[in-house]
Amino acid sequence: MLLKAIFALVALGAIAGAIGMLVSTNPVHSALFLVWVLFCVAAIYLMLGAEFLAIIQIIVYAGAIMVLFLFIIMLLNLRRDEFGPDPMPNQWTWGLIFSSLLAIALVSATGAATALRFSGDPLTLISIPDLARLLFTKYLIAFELASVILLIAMVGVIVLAKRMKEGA
Amino acid sequence: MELGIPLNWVLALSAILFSLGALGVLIKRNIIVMFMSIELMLNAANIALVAFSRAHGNLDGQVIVFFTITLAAAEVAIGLAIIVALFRIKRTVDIDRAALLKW
Amino acid sequence: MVEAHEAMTWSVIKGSVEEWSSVLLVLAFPLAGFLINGLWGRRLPKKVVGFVACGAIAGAFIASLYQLVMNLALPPLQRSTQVIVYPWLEAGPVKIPFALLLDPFSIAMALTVSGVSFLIHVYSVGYMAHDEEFSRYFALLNLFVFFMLLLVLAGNLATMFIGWEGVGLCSFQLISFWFTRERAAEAGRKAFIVTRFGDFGFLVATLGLLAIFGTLDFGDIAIAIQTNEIVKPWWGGEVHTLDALNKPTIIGLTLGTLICLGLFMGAVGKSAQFPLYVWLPDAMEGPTPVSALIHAATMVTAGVYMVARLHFLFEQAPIALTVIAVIGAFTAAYAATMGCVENDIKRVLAYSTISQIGYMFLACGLGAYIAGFYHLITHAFFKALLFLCAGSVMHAMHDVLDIRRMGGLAKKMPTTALTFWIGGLALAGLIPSGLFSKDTILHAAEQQKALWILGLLTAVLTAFYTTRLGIKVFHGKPRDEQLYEHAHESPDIMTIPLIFLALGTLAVSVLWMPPFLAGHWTVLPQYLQPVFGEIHEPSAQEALSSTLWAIGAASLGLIVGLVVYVLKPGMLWGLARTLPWVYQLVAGKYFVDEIYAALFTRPGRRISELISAHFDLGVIDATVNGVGWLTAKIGSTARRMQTGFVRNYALFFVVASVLLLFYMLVRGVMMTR
Repeated sequence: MLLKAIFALVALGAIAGAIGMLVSTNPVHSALFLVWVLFCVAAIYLMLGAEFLAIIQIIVYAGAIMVLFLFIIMLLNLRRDEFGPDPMPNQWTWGLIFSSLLAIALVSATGAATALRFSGDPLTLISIPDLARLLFTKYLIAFELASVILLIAMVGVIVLAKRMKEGA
Repeated sequence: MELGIPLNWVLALSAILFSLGALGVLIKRNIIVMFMSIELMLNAANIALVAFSRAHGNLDGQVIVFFTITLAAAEVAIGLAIIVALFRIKRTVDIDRAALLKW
Repeated sequence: MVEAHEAMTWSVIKGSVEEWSSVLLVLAFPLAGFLINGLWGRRLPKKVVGFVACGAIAGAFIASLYQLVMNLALPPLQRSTQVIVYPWLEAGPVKIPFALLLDPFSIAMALTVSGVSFLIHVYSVGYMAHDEEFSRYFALLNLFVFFMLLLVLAGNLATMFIGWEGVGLCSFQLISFWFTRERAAEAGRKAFIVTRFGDFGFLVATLGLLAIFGTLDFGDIAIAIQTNEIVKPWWGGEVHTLDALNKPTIIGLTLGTLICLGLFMGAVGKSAQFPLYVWLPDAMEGPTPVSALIHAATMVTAGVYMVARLHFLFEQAPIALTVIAVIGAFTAAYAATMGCVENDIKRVLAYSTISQIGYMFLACGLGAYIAGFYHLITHAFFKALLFLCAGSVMHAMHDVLDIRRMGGLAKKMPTTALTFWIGGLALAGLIPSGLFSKDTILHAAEQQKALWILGLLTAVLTAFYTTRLGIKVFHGKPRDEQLYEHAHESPDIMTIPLIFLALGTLAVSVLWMPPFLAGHWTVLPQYLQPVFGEIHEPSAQEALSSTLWAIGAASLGLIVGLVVYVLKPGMLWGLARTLPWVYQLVAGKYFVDEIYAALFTRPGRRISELISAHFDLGVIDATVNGVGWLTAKIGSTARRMQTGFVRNYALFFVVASVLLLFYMLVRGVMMTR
């Protein structure tokens, strides 16, 4: 029961954070709200026994990725009132209608999942060695490929962000 | 013994966060915030994966989340680089200003 | 039919990669060659680059040979092994491993590919010696061989598709190797796009097979068909395999037929059959060894290989087999006529390739897979030889391709001329091995008179254009003195592969001799028997009459060619002395040329013009333009949707997702009720 209550609290926190991200007009505020949401997600991972992912979530997502976001926002020195009148004034209405429909569809689909029950002790953490073993056997090639992708991304970023020479 | 949190609660949270992310992509004009919304959607999907992984007592879901996070890092780096390149040309991050590719 | 199949069972043993790791060597050598030359080739001296490239292919050949020896040591029914290298895609019941298949068929093909490739690589060292992009050329050539061997050794359609697309990519890169020339760049694009068109059918058929069988492994599909296993196709329920394949679909065709036609569409594109042959003549813009390797010996025969590989599937679709036989026979004759009027030495050979592959498809369509494969092997040798001879001629003639400017080259380049005639006579079907392989196909077609006559007609035309080509290039008087003066025999590094290919052309005839020559000397059919089943060996008398027909047809073409192109001067001088009025004819030496023009070129051109004016413009172009017009109309209306606003596109995306989700939800609710 207590766990349920904590989960509800964290979930509501995450949703509130997400809404906050959407309504704030300053991108820095949005980014900070998103950091909050990411922390909540990490907490949920922890409650689901995925401690390794929870740590990764905080280090990589909240730590590295969001810092990159903030860095870019500051680098570009964005003002929030730079934009002119909205060329698509009905976008808010349509967006709200269809994302609500999306939410309804998805949530009603989760009803089918009640048949599935969690197995095992709720707070037993899934062992990291098992995860590591899986990662380095069945998914070894995928794992190596992931590192290649990171390398390619690194090269790609340099190419994209480099100032092009005249005529190049 | 059953875990205190019902699976469909977690999935519902995932669904709601996903829809909020979609809403963000639809309504925000600032491309950086749009991009953040996409990250939110990714996280929502990750929650569902972890929940299912737990429900099935199978670690593959968690491995996929691990890869998703890795790819998200690469994706964010590339995406932000594209945004910077776009900003150089347009001097703005208003996505509606980048509307040259039309009829 | 040559091969009457008994109720055969092709069973594939599953082996682990640890046990069969040696097969990886076959692929590893060319890949390593590609990586070395691709990454560091620019910094290495040309000698090293050439050595690495040739060594890599030699390694692959030796590794294939090793596989053959190992394979022969096994009892015949255990010679087919599927090696799962890596579990590639696994989603629930669907498992698509990265798998290789070692069986007599794939090993024989791998040997042919790597053997011919090696000789062409060696030749290339000489041919490309002065090219600045030496290392890029060899890196791509190695990569091509890697993908080709992957295609050949693939254990399932997904793995084969990697090879299939890979060779297409390398072909594209190598056709437009000299990409600064506009025509080469265009030819490369054309080849890529036209074959991609066929690949679409291949891919759809592959997905169809996956949706029926839940697997793409050749062995599993074969067993499912042989034992009529129960499968779970996409439309739900559990049905027997044969019922699933015989499920009726549109216009009275069964599902199996549609799938086979889709696969054949891929083969038509890759193997340049009618109507997707158009890319191959243009592909001659690439370096000549590339034409020899990719566009004569290996890649273009991949379609034939694929059809024979999946013969158990095609046999469930008789209509598809008929289509294959008819398209093959038609293409054979159609391309041969074009070969007779072409003046570009490489294009003559290109049309000849299209025509010969038509023969192979004819054989496959008739169920004579081994005959088709035998022709594939012999063709790989003699056509590679002919192309390399053409390359040698080009080398001597400063890249002149027009045979009207050649002549008399036999004196200057004896080795090239001799080897050319060996290849040419084999192509014409007058000497082994071309004689034997073409003969087995014609024999297979004997029951289908229309196809058989087309086959014989093609044989006549083939002999004719081969004679024409050989005589115009190597004999008679030089037509361009200046070019002739500078002509010289190619260096040893080019002529030695020619000699080896010529010997190979003769030597592969031992694979399958006609019964009246060597009793039951059927090495190839015996070795391939576990895959294709027992063949029905014709009696010596039947085979003899069939062979006589084939030789007769080829001799007719040869004689016509000789009369027209060799006896011409002698005949005319004789006439001039006896009959004064003919003197005028002789004086106007061109009259004869005009008669040839009237006899051969003009009717040919007339027919071509009629086809181009009515069929091409009226049917093909009109269809194409009509499709284009319709697309433009739809586009101009629908483009209003393209507002250019990203958020608008995102909205479309979300709306579609919501609709799909609701559809799936409603469907789910309906199904649980």
